[in-house]
Amino acid sequence: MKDLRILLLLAACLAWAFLTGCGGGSGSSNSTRSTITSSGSNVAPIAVNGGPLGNYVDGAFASVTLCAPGTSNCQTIDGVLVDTGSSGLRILSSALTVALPQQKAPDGNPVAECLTFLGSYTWGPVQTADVQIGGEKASAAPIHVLSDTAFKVPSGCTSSGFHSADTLDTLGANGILGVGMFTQDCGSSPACVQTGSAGLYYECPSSGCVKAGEALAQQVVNPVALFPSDNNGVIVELPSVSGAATSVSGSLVFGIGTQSNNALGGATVYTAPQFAFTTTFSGHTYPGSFVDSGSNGLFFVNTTGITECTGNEAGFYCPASTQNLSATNQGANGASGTVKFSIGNAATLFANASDMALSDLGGPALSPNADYFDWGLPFFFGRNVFTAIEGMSTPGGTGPYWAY
Amino acid sequence: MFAVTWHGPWLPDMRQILGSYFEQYRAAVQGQTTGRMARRPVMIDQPGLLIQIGGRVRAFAGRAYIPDKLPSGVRVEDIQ
Repeated sequence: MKDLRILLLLAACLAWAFLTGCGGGSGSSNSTRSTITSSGSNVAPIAVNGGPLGNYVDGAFASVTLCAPGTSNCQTIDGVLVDTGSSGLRILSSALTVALPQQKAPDGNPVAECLTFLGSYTWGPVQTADVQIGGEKASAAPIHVLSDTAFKVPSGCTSSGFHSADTLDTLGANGILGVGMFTQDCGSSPACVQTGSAGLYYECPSSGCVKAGEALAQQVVNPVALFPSDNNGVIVELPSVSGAATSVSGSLVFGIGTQSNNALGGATVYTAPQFAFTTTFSGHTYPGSFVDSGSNGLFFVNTTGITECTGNEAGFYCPASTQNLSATNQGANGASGTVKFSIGNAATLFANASDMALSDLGGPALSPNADYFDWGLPFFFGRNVFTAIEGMSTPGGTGPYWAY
Repeated sequence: MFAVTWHGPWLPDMRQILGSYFEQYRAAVQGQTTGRMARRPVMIDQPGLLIQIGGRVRAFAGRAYIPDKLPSGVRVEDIQ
């Protein structure tokens, strides 16, 4: 089935080559029609298929194998969301059957974590696992086990007002595989490693969990950075979608320019030294823009008057007819390119309950003071998108950068 | 006080920022469901309370304001 699809893609590409040249870099939108890598020890299959509950739109899901460190006591968990916007592996406690060692602070107290996403928080113990994805393995990686009951949720973790996303019903996935630009989820700032004021890490004596600093090496880590090789970044490869599809499948490829199947090729590198690049849309410039497979749509300030949804779809766009738009991305290195995109009516797109891959889903960023354009999963359809990890060298330069 | 804005790597303590409005905000933000799982910006637009939160891990921004208490002549767009 998969082979057939790739053959068809190849055939389409060959036919198209007579007209325009396959993968020829024109420097404008859709410049690289890329094929999807399907084999290699550094390749894991992914699918935009609604996830384990079949209700998650524009999310890419992968399988991850967890083992008690140094043992063959392992478990494979599917339905894990691939998120290039965060770093670190988070797994539902309810999906976990293998016993993993609890991480302890130097004073012997167990360590737990609170990580807040937009609209929800995740909470639970930090444990250690060997993490296998495709043919790659991160040994003794700190991971985040999501549970509201292993340790009582501290008030600091609920101060966002958001709901917990520590169950299948509330997360819509069995976990989150954060393979973004960051090496660790919190990082080296004093708020993370010393004072704990970032609010991510907690120590949990029997009297209750309190915020604490967490040494960099103990923080929940981007598992890719711990691979022995192919550890400088990832490629998310998904086929193009025209409007809506029930599901599409692609690949998560590890390493950039480390093997014959992960070369940059004709992709343009957009450096992002502060984990952001600049998008210009409708005459406005957004220097905090980012590419994030964990965002379900394209989110940007509504400067062009697109009708916004109300009620339960609030937060998405609901134009009467599909809007065809374009924006320009520019890296700190000066590389620049135009991206064409479309915004459809979210209420209409959601009405067909079996459609899980939506190319035209978007919504407003808070206005007027958002400094970003969020290139979520719809951006990935029909592109091979490279995410290079901070400080890692690649043939395209040192991360962090995006390339496509 | 009629408006608060913030931006930073991590979300602020909304209890502290919103005070007596926190419970109204929490009920509104937790009440939004589409029947589809989706992460999206938080947009609360209720009589007496407007809150927007956007961004991502390590770069959040937001603002909250009480429309009835906006001084005359101050536009929502002026709140930066």
